[in-house]
Amino acid sequence: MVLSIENLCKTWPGGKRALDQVSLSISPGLYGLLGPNGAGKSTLMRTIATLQDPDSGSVHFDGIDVIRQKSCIRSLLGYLPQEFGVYPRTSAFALLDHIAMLKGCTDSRARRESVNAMLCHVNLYQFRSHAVETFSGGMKRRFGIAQALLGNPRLLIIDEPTAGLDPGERNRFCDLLYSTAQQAVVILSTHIIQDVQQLCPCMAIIHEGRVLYSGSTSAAIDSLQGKIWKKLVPMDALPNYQSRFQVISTRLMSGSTQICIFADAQPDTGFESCDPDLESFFFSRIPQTA
Amino acid sequence: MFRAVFWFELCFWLRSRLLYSLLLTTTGILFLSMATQLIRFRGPGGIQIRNTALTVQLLYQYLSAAGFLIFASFPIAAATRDHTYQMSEIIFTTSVSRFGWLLGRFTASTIIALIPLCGISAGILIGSVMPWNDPAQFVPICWPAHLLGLAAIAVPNALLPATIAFVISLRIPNAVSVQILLATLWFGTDLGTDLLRIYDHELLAAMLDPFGSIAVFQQTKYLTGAKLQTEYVTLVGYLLWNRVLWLSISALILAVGCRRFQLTPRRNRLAVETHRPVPGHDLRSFALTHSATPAFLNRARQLLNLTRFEFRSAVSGPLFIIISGFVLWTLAFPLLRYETGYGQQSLPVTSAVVEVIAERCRFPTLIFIVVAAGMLVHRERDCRIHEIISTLPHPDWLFCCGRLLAMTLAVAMMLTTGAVMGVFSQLIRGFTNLQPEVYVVSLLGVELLRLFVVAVLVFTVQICTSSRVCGYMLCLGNEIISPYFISQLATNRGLISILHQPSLIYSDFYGFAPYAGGLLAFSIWSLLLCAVLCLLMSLLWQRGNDTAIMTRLREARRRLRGRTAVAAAVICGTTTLYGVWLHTAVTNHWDPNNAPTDAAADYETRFRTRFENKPHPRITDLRYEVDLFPKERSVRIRSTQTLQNRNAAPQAEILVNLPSGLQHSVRLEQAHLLLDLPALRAQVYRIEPPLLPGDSIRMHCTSSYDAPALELDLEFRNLVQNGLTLTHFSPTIGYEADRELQDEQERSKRGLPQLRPSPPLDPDNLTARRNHKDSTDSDLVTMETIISTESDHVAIAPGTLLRSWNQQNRQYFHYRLDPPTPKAPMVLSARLRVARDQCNGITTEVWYHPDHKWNVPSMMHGLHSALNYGIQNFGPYQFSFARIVEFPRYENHIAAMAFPGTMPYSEAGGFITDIRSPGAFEKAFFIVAHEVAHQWWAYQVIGANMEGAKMLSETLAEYTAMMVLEREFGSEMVRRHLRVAHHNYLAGRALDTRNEHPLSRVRPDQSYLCYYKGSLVMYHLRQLIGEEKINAALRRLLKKFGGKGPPYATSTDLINEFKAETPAEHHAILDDLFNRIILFSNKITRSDIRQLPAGRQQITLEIECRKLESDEKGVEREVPFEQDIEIGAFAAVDDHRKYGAALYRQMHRLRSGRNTVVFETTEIPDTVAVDPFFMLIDRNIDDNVVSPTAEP
Repeated sequence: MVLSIENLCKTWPGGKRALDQVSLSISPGLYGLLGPNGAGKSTLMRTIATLQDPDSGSVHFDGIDVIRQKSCIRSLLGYLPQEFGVYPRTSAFALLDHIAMLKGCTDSRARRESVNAMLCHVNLYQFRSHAVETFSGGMKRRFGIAQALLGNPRLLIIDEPTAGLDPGERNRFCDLLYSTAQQAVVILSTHIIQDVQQLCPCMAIIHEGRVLYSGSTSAAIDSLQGKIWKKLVPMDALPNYQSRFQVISTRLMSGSTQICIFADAQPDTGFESCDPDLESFFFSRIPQTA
Repeated sequence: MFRAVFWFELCFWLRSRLLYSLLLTTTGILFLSMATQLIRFRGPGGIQIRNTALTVQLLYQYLSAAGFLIFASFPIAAATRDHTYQMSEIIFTTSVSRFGWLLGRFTASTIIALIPLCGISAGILIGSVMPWNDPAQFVPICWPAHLLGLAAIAVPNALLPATIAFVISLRIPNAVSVQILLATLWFGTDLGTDLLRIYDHELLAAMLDPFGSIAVFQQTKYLTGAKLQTEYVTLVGYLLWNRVLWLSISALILAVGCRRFQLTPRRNRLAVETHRPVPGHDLRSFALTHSATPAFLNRARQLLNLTRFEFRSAVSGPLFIIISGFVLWTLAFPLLRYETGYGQQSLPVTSAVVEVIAERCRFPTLIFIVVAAGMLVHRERDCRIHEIISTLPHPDWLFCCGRLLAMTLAVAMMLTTGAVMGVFSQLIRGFTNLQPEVYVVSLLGVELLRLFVVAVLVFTVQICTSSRVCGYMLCLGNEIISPYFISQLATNRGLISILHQPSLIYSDFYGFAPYAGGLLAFSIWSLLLCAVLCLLMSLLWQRGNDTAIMTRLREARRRLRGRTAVAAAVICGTTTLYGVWLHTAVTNHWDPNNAPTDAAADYETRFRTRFENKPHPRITDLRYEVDLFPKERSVRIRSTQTLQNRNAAPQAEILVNLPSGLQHSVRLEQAHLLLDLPALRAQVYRIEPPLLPGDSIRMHCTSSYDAPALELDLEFRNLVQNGLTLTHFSPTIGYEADRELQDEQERSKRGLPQLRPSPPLDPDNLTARRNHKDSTDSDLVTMETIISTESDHVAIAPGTLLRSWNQQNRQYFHYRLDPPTPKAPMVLSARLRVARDQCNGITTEVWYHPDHKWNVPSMMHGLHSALNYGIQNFGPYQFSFARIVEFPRYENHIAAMAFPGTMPYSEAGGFITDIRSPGAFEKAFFIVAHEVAHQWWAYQVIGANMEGAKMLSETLAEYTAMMVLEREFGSEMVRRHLRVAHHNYLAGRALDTRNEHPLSRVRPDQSYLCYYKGSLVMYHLRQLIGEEKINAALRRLLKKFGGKGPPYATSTDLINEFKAETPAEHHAILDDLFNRIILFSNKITRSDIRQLPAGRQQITLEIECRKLESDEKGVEREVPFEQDIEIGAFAAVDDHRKYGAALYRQMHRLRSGRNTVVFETTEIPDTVAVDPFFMLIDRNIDDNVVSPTAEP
């Protein structure tokens, strides 16, 4: 059960390359997709979710050609888009029930049980008769998660899952994802790098349609051991440092600026070594966004 | 601030494609209507010139009223944009002022909304200068008409909906809801003004109609010929006040709406989250148990579930609720007060009620389908849930099929609501014969299927275009263009058009029986085509984010694999096979292109010179043996016609014309067939030796017709299982001018000379007077008919029933018609009941459908009264019987006919008129009296085949019927008839595309003259010289021509008789009435009341009088006159009459120009009137009547 993506290319009508020779191989478990805005993450996810055809390349999941055998892959798929709306005047239960029906569960009693269980899990059970359109952002997000998880999908694609969730809900959701990931390929795209670091054993970084890194998360962090240095500098000296070193992040700290730079050896006195994290790895790969 | 908002808004719209596509569409449609045959707007009065000033203005009027939703969409978008795109929190927290924002948005978007209207002038101007145009169809450009059309008609018409829409959408920021609300308002006012017009408040309606169409109609109605080409609507009178009123209302609405508006964003109501402990669930339960049932059953359940889900959300949505409400509203009036002209009601028989429901529901349901299809197809995208729904593993066909079903169910629910209303209306009017099967078959069968087909088409359009606006535009374009294309396709090869459902006329006589097979066959065909379209839809149903057409086609190809491919092959294969079968094996009557016109042209070129003026033998005796098989819809006729040479020379060659439809085999004694042209249905025989003067031969003919087992559209609607009627079924001889090609354009295309008018009125033209108006091959004939039919049927033919017997389980009837009358063969077979009576030794009968017994006494009354009147005043009645026979409603426009002694009366006519309410017009009575009168004025005095013939039959029949009506019910009843006649005459002359003639020279096609002007003229004459003198004149005419052969009577003979009875001082009026086209324009300009001592009132009227003479082209000139005209003063109305009690009625001598009349009354009159009962034909009768004002 492996999702293999090979040489995926997609160019928008304006000439912008959304995906450029993207190749990934994803095994069961949580897989993080990182990248700045407009990197092509959502395009990649939509392509896997059968919403968009690539110009070239292929996607296979468990022997199924995702692009040609859409109906086969859809029965294994759970998808939560970054943004979504709902039908007006439709209660949470009715909508989730409708989706379960469309997922192929035609036995109404069994469906009702599953839907209620799911609503409990995302903490929406007491709102099951409220119209979804009246939900707040976090509640709607949870509703989205519920519909994606419904039916135990074997391929779960989740775009920005934790945006808008309060910390408690976020933890609940992470648990939920973690347990699902035991038997499924779960692709997670997020801006919150900590989520990936916490949850995903494997990940990829995408920038301008190209894969800059793919592989184990811990290996990525380890590769930076002893190569990240930090220093407090005055604000006006920043351009000087930026021209001399590969600055991967700057952070305001009590009036001065703490800069982190990437260098194989200690570049200068005053710099001290610090423990790498996924964020430093991310910025070390995408320098110009610092 | 205003300027910034204004310019931003203007530039925003100038970048939108919608604006340009609308402008282009308007220009394009108008261009096509001018420069091509593709689209034709019917010009006013049916004139051929395409770009008259009036046409331009009426187009502005029509399109600005019809396109109100389109104009409204710009301000709606301007008002709701911030909310829709969630910009309001940003915009409203800037320093923009309330009025700057409101007025900037409103002004800019309204200006933009007006731009597409300019396309009307653009299209007309460009289209009318195209080099290929026929210059005869165009007149020079009339700039003031364009300008007035735009500025005075179109702009205010667009402003009102724009304002209302803008103000409403400030409160309800949802475009669709606002559009629907607006549509409802529009229909509401439309219906309201209609009601006002029905209740004679024409002028109030003209003021209150927001689009000014009634005011425009007021200015243009009754315009004829020459005036239609030059006149145009100007901003005066009611139109001016209407415009002022509605512009002020627009301004007021805008002001109030803006005052109440606050710059605060509208927020959705949110569910408040409360944390509560939740029951624990084990993760396993997320798994959806897929039932072990077979896949197709699962799919069926999914379809059922989805249909239910969509149906629920459809019927709870605003669109359905508003349109259903509208359906109820639009049905309430006609169902509770079902009117059929003359202001009288029909009984709520189920077939009529169902027809009203179907007709009234058609438009709202179509709107529902078109709008709902746009919403349903793009629903996921609109709700932004498409990314979730698209990735779910449902089959591609599920959504389009489920939604189509849900929409059809919703439409069915609307129709059912209509049906419930219908039943309710029947019950509260005390009518209990409900006939539920008629409701079910007509509404939930035929009508629903028609709407379903439309729904499938609209869905297909929406899915294929993948843009809602495009889809709507296509549907709209289809609405305008399709009548043309569909009629083209329908006449040539009707099967291609799945919208062309065969017509269906239900009758209580035969139910749906003759139509059932064809309708079923066609329904299967249209359902199969729908299946093909559904297949196409499911292949193109959008499930991803890519809307590019190539991507969708690629995806469609991918979907067309495996089981889908098999299903597609089966559907397409079945459809093709069925279509081939339907085209080849099933009879249908779509003639190949131009065949009938070619045949008519061919007939004329071959035979006109050879036979037209060649005397033929005359038919003197007819003998028919008719076998009717109503159940099988078959007919066998053996006819024997005796032909006598009544000319001085021997005759050798005879042209025989065969009636269409039946199979004929003719055998002419002592003759052989010279020429047989089946396509022309004509044969030429040579008699050898030639027929000597005074000698006779006989012509035998066997005619038969067998209805095909399956017929898509009935060839003969009159051949039915019960109520079978046949007329004109035997061959005729001699050249028939009626068969000539009637369309002038087609004639000139084929090199035929211009159509000759009917022979002009000329009493000295004895050649023309040899023939009477209905038949060119016979004078007076005797007729004998033996009919056999099914044993439980009654068969009726003109004549005395000699004998009736049963033989081999078939019923035979033997009729003989004596004395000789003009040839009018007819047979009818139906299951009927009879009411019999005696009157002056004449057996009177009303044969009627057992369920339609309501008006039989009234008809019997009419029959007796008319017979009595005729016998007393004109002369003896020629037969020993007089019978009214009910026949089915297959020709809705024919109310009744007259055959010798036998008068078929339609089921849809007087048999269902409701005469129960007091004061109802006695229509059943009136029409019976009219038809009985024809026994004198058509079957005794026979008009010669020249202009004026119809004055001798129809005008005199109307006169007789009016006199009988007046004798039985009083003059108020006749006046109601005259009011209708007055309107029908003026409206009829405005629609006459050829020349109007004076009454004495009425052409056969001018019904508005012989019936309506005839009624007015005869009543005027009767007021002038009295009923007795008219009847004396008629008696003399009857003595001279009654029951005699050629030369036949002319209108001159009649007028001469009238003249002999009229004092010389009135001869000028007589001439005005019959030989000229005279119109009056009398108007009370001032009316004052002065109190006199002893409670008397002195009333002073100032009256402006004009007498106009119109030439045949409609050019009017004023002629001086001096004539006695009635002046009346009336008390207030206390019942349904037009006037209350008469306080004063006196003739006064009035002359052209201003007149002053002074008279006294005992009470204060409520109304005073000049010519109160419209004896004169007044162009505008509304200004004849005023309420007088008391002098200070």
